Amino acid sequence: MSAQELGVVDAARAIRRRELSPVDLVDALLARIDALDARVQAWALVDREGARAAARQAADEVTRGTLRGPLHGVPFGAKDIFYSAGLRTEGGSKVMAGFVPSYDAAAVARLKAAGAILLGKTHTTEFATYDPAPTRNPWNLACTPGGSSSGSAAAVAARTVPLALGSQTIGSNVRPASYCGLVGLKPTFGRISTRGVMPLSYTQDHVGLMARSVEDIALALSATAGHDPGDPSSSRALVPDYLDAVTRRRAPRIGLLREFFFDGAAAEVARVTSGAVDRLAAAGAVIEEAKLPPSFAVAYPAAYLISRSDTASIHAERFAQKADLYRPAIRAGIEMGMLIPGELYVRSLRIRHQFRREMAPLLDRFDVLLTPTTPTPAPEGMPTGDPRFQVPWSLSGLPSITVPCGLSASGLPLGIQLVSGMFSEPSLLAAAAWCEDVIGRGPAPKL
Amino acid sequence: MTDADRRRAEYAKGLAAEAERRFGAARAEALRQNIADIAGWMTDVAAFPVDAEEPPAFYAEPAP
Repeated sequence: MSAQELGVVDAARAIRRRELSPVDLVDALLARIDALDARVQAWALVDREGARAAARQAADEVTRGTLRGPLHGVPFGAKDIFYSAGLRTEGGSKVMAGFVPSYDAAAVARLKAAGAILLGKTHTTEFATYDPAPTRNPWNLACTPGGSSSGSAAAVAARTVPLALGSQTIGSNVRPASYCGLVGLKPTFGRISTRGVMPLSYTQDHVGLMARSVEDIALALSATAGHDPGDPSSSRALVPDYLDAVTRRRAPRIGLLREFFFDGAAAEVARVTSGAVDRLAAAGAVIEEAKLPPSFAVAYPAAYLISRSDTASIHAERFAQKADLYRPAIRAGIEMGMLIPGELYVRSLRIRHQFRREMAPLLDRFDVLLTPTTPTPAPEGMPTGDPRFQVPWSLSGLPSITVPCGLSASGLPLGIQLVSGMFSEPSLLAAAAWCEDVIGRGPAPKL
Repeated sequence: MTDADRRRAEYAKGLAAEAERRFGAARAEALRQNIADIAGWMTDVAAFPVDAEEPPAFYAEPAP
């Protein structure tokens, strides 16, 4: 297997065993970026010299028998809303042109502390909203990779990096991961610190992870999860060994959400997803239909009223100075957020609480809930696609993951989305790994 | 016209007036579709029977 095809766990193992030099791995990925990125446009900034220097240091440390952590020498990319010390971080916006942070976002710092090497910054839609990034889908360059974590998804799919940080406020991590044939995790709200991530919502921003296998995601989550006193939304929940959790695979109890999800998906998506469900059932999963609670009906409007209000508050001062530098969609979003009445904002927060409470019995009955990840495959053109299947889990903070489950007739990836209870990532990842075993890992795009 | 339709129309009218006051007539016109979307979401949220004892949820609840 060529170096650029290696996933996170395999690359880390090869480096640990001195079968692969971090320098050779970084050079192979830089060569791949040089060969492909003019077409894919996943990368906003490639830190060639910084990554090579870090790789040389990692190689020296391997020679001396010193490993920094479980990701020693493994490169990663970070969406360009994650602060990176000394590296331009522009959030896809003219408003932030030339901004260079003095510190790393907590998630970036934790990956580096585990030994990982920051290869560069990946394109994002403007401030992780809707105005699209230049990035193309590696499976079909005429299609969107999804957004807002457009570059992160395309970079991992194009085999230019094995792991990338994304984010999700509405549907921005799981959806692009699925459009690009990847495994993408949005953990429980508060599980990974958002300190040093350009904010969009105080109560819906999640750091997300993208890789090419569930095992790779589990290792990356182990490195990034945990309490951060610098982030008031960060949870104090203990961090289990997620990599160990995925070794405890067993046929899960799956609640199938037909209402809204299967019913709202294109016929082809529903058919491919149902085929995957049949295979899971044949392999031993216990599958029953699950019924959504009444508050699900208002999860979507509540999520949008909260996030629009938060975005308006977050951008208020900057917007007052630089409104004309904002692109049309985020400008409209900020302006509308300024007009939402406070009473309905608080009512939306109460709906979130009720939705979480009403979901709890359902999540107790099953290991995971299952839906198609997206209503359609990645659409043609630059709009970043429909996030509606992610919105309830962004509002509630419940963890969700997408796993590839097949291809559309036009050759684009489709995924199943699994959802579980708050802080139940061990069982979510174990179920996802079991499903991945049954369905098989997603193929690579032909670039 | 249903109660929801009436409420949505009232919200849209109020949002349009406030948008014009704060951002000017041209921006208010440019925001017409956004105003319709927000008015719809406001109507849905306002009409939903939230439990009287339900508190707001800001951050995640303590882990089990």
